[in-house]
Amino acid sequence: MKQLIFIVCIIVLLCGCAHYSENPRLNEYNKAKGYRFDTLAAPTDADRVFVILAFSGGGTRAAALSYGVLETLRDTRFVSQGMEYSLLDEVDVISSVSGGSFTAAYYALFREDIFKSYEERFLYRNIQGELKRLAMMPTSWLKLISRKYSRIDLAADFYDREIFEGKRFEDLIRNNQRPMAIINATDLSTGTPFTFTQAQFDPICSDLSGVAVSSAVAASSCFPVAFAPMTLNNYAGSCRYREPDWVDLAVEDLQFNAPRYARGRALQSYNDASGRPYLHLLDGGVADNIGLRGPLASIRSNDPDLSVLRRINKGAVDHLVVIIVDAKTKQDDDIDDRPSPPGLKTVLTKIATVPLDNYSFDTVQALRDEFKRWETESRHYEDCKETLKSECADAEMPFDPPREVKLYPVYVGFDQISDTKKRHYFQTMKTSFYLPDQQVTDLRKIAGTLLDQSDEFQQLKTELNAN
Amino acid sequence: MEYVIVKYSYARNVFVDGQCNGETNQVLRVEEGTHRFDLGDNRDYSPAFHKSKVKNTTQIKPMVIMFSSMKEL
Repeated sequence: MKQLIFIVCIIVLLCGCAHYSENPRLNEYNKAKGYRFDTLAAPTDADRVFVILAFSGGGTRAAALSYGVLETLRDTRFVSQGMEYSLLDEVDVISSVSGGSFTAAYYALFREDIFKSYEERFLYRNIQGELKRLAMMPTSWLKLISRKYSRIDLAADFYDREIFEGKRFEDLIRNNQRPMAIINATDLSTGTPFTFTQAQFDPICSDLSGVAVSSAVAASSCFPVAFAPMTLNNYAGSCRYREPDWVDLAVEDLQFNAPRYARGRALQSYNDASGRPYLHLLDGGVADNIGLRGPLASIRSNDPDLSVLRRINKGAVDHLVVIIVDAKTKQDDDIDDRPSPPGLKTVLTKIATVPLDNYSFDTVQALRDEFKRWETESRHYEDCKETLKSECADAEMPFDPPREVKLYPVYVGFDQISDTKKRHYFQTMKTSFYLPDQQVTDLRKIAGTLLDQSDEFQQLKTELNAN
Repeated sequence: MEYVIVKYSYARNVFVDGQCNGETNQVLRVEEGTHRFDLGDNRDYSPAFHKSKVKNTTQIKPMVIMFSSMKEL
């Protein structure tokens, strides 16, 4: 009996010592190393057609929809300089949130093999049920006794074992090819997106290469309340990190470019390890549920580590394609059918989801507006040139226009489905890590249909002479 | 979006806030805000840098920033 009690005590002690997987320290800041866009190998003219994918959150629904987009891009083929390519080969960046992060990370890690193993390993699997069963196991309870191990760590370990084969960011660096997967979580203190890139890990003097990809995906899909936030250690000040030059300039810009000011301040918030020794990360959807804020900043600004604008200025980009894959739903509710006010659960659900949906809508609109502004300004230049010629045939414009770039904002979302019944079917699918097989198959198919019905996508295909 | 042209006697890289952003004598796109412009490490130009608030520009009327070659001075 004594022996049994002793063994039980040892098990409890060992499990009670369970600890989240600590993010490793960075010995020395080096801008030429780590998981960064500029360190990934690419052919000379890889930027000519620059393709960014943004995958939204929404559990398996989002994962299947984004997978369907990858399948369609794989099947869209074109010939350039005698070689056949697919549009999937042209994808440079995938920015993802929550459910979409599973597809983004899996593709970045396993490339074309995603089409052999992902369906069985994730899409058509009851991950939700397996997570629930795992949480009910006594060994899990014992681990959860530890204050440094929570349900999100349990999920991350499960994803690591069952989906991502224990791969770390060093494996992505070793792959050394595009697309770069930018997995977005939310910094709970600042409320800003937190990306799993070395540029984001530099200020906290942490080496992303030693972090498990599953941890990034778990943080990105760390749905509030269901999971506790994920913790990172902040080692700021220990790696001779040098803040980018733009930060000091951006903090002067509060009055006339507040978003740039906010980006600068958010980055500076990591500098004080004694004041902020830990960071807590939550689902990326809290800050941006379509993963588009990062790409938008990279198109608008010369500041970010990955700035598309810098590449455009250098004349490297001819076509800029942004494909937004938005698995947003529109749940049925009957609150307006009755005179009595809705219950607390309904009100809380609305409070949690409506602002996020509105923000996502605004973000998509901001991208469209940005592209429209670029086109309008180019047109003004051409109009002015034409007027000058007609009034004074010998006169020349004092400057050439900036580099021309063709823009393709492509939106894939259920509200684009014209058939009411079909739209309702997709818009009322639940948010879970389990969906019936038929729904997963339907999501994959509708992704291709929606992509094909996009005018901008058709324009791109025409431009590239793709089939 | 704002527009800037950095003028110099010949073509060389333009650095905006320490990052290469295209070449001299071409209209460049920059985000509205405070920026530092220079021509990189071979510091044979004057002034050493320009710090400017870039706003209210257009493609037709970009902000003009001038550097001179030390050899010409």
